[in-house]
Amino acid sequence: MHPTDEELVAAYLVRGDQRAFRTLIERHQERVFGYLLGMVRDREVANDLFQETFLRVIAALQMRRGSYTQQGRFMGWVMRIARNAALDHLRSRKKWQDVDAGDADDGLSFWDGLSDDALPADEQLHRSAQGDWLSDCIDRLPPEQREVLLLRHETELTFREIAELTGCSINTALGRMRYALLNLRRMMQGSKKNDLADVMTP
Amino acid sequence: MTHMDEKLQIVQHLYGEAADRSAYHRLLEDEAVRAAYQAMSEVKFRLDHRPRQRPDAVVLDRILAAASGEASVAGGALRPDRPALRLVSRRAFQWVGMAAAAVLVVGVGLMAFWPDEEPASVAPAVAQEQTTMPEGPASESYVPSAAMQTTADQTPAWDEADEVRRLHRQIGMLQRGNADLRWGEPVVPLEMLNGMTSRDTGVRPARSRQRPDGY
Repeated sequence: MHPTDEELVAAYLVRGDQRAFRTLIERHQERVFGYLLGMVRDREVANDLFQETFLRVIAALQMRRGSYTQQGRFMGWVMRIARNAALDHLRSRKKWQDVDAGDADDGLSFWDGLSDDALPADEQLHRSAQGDWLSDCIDRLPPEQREVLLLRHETELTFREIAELTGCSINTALGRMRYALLNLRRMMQGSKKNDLADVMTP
Repeated sequence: MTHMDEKLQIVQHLYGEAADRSAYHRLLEDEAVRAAYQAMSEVKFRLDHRPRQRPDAVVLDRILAAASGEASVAGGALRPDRPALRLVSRRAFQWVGMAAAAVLVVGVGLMAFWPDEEPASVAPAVAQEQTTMPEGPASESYVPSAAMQTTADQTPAWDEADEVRRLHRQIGMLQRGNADLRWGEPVVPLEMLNGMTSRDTGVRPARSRQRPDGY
């Protein structure tokens, strides 16, 4: 039986078990790194942010243990740190525009701001390599939709956890996910790559 | 339940997070909802089969090193800030320099305004002599007694008057005996000079010498 995240954290903190911490990182590295890579779209930067995230985790666990309350939500706590690191980076590069907190709960004002027109992605899609095609489509999503999609597919957080993490309602999180999926669908149809075989072949 | 809610519910069903699973078939009875569900499920399938990305191995090594306390291996991220040793030492040197300069200034000031004891003892005597200096012509040849005493005391021990007089007489004798010599005259043996002649000239054996005192 595999130990839970909380048991591994306790083993690291109480007994100084380094293997427990290694297991913890190896268990979640793909989820955290996939989210960071999707957000910043640069592997080197994602590596730096991944390292920064877990160094913050270590510092918080070792020095300020109260910040991690051990409520069975280690991954949510780590992802909050990772998201802050990613947003700090994006804000520093002036490439991120936060959604106004005022429209977080109504759901409608955010949708009104989205365009229903087909995205001008056809020519760009044809320029992309086949393997990176889906990643390129995700990159062209609006930031709010892209983040929800990454948090759900890469990090595997539930929509409720995503709503708590991003500070919006669960309806807003679900709506962003829905639009993200439909926008990706449009991109596929526009690029005539809606055939599954075209995409799945390496 | 609104139409918007149905669209969101279908997303929850798509990801297996719907609390009411029985509503799934009822939702799909709506053709528009069913079409949206079909479109989203295709995209979800592709997203689910995307290759997973991992960080570089060196990043993991750094993190694990930091977790074990080897902060220096962690690329310096957990390393404490370097103390400003250079600034501290520079300030220390500045303080030491300022203190040395202050001591020097105070010392020079004390030396200037706090003269030595010996001149202080002489100065009043000179002042007293000056107050008793004779008036009239005698004042031109007047030498303060304290100054004369000081000059006598400062005469070195080797300055013997008898020796000086003897040397003076010898110099005078040599000058008088060689008064007729002029520049450009032929070389004359030293023994032939006046005052330097003796009866025994030339080289003679050492044993034939006799000391003046007869030994």
